Amino acid sequence: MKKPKIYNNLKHHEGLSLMELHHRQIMVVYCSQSDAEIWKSFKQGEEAAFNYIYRKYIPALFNYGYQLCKDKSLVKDCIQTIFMDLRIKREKLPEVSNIKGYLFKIMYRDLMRSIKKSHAYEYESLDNSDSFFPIVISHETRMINEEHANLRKKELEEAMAKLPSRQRKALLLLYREELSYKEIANIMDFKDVKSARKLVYRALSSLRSLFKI
Amino acid sequence: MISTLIIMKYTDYDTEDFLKDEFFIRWILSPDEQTDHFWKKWCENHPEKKQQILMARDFIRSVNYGEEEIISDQLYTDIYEAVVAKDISDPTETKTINWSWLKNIAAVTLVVSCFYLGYSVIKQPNEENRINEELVIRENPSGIKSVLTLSDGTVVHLNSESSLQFPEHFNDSVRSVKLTGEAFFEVAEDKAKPFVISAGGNNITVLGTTFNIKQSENFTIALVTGKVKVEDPTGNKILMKPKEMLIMEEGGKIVKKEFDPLEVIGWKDKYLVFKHNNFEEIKEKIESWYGVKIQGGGQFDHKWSYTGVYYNEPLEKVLEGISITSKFDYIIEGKKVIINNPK
Repeated sequence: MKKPKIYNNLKHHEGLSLMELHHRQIMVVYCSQSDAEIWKSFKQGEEAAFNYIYRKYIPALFNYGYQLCKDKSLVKDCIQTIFMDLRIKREKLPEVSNIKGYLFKIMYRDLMRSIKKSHAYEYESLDNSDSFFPIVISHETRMINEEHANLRKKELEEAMAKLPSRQRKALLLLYREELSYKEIANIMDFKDVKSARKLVYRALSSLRSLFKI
Repeated sequence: MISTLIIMKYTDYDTEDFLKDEFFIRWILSPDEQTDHFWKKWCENHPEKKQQILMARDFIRSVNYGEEEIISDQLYTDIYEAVVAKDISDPTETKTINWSWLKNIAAVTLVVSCFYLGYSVIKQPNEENRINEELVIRENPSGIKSVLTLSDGTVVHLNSESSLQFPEHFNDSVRSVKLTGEAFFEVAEDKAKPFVISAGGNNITVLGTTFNIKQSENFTIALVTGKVKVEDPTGNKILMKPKEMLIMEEGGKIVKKEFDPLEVIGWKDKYLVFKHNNFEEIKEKIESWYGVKIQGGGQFDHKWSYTGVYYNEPLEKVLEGISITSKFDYIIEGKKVIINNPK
C-alpha cells in the first residue's frame, strides 16, 4: 500500500517523524481547552484528542498504578486495556469534567480486579497496608531560603510514615496530583466529598505539632 | 461582598487551615489570574500571616511520592502502539511510525533566553587561567540563527537577536558563559567543572546534563532533562526538576508550571510556533525570525488570536497561512512586509 501523500512532504525532516510533529501540534491545540471539551472531542472520534490525553496522563497513571502494585507489567497491561476500551467504547463514555480523576478511578478499579485475578498478591488489605503510598518531603521543589526553611524534613517524613496509607494517598492526590476533594472522593469511592475532606483533615491534625512556628 | 466574607474567614487561619483550603492550594500549585489576584492582595493586607503562608506553601510543594516510578520511553511507546494498532487495519502503516522523537526529547537540553542582561561576573578567573580565557562574543541579528560548539563539546543553538559570550578555552574550575536573548544548550557532562550560564542577573548552574531557559519580559527556564540550579540576583536558590518551567517575573514573583516543548524549544528545530498569539506577538516573532519589518495591521480585533505551527517555511507561506484564517492582504517588498486589513 502506498504511503499517504503527507509523508512525502515531510521527507526533509531531520530526525523528526510525522508522529512527532503530530504529537507536538496536538499539545499546542489542546493545551488551553477544558477537560470537558477535550473529552468531548475524543468521544467524537478526534484522534488528536486521544493522543493528547494519552500523552498528558500516561506518566501519572503509570506512577499511580505502581503505588498500588509493584508489578510493572501488570500495571502496563492494565493501562493498555483501559485505553483500548476507551477507544472502543468512546461514543458511550460518560461526560468527564476531570480527565485525570476519571482515569485514576478506572485505573484503581481495573488494577484491583486484575490483581485479584492474578492471585499473585494478597490483595485484601492492599492500599490499606501501612507501607503503601510512601511520602518524601522533597526539598527540590521549594525555594531554599534559610529564613523561611520552616519545614523539618526528617520529622515530617517520620510523621508521614506513621499515617495510615489512605491518608497519605489523599495528601498525594491533593498536593501532588492537584486533584480536588471532589475528585479524591470519587477516586477513593467515598459517598460524599465530606469524607475526602475528613481524611485530609485527620492527616493534617496528626502533623499539627510540626507546623508550629 | 463575597470577597469581604472570605477575607474575614481567612484572618483566623493557621497553617493547617491554609493547607485544607482548595483555593489556597490552587494558588500555590497552579496560580491563575483569579487566585493570584486574591492571594497577593490578601498577603499584602496580612503581613502577620506571612510565616503561616510560607510554611503552608513549602509543605504543599514538598509532598512527593516516596517511590515515584517514571514510565520508560519503551513502555510508553509499547502501550501506545498496542492500543492504536488494534484499530489500524493495514499493518505496514504502523511501521512507518517513527518513535525516535521520544529519544530526542530525552536528549534535549536547555534554552536560555534573556533580553534584560544585568551584568554579573560569576567567578573572577585566576591570573594563570586568564591566558586561556580569551573571550569570544557571537552575536546574531534578526533573521539569523546559529549553532556553536564550545571547547568542552557543549552545543549551543543561538536564536536570532541574541548573543553569547564564552571563553575560547574554559578554565580548570568552572565553565562560564554569558547570554543575552535566547539559546538552547546541550551541555556536555563534566561533573568536575560545573557549567554556569549568566543571564539577566540570574546564574544557572547545570548539575546534570540537560535543561532549557528563556527570558523575554520574564526570565524563563524550561528544564527537559537533568537538574538545574538557578540563583536569582537576591541570592535565592531554586532547584528544578525535569518537565518544569520556572518563570521569574520582574517583580520577583516565581512561578513553576508545566510547559509545551514545541512552543518553548521548537525554534531550534525550525518550528515557528504561534499559540493563541495576538497580532503584536505574531509581528514580533515574524520580524525576529525572518529579519523583516512589518507595517500596518492596525485593524485587528482585540480578541483576535492565531494558533499555528510552521516547519522551515519561507515568509510567504507563513503570511499566507495566517491570512487564510485572518482575512488580510500582505505585500512583501524586500525586508519590508505591508499588511492591509480587513480584506
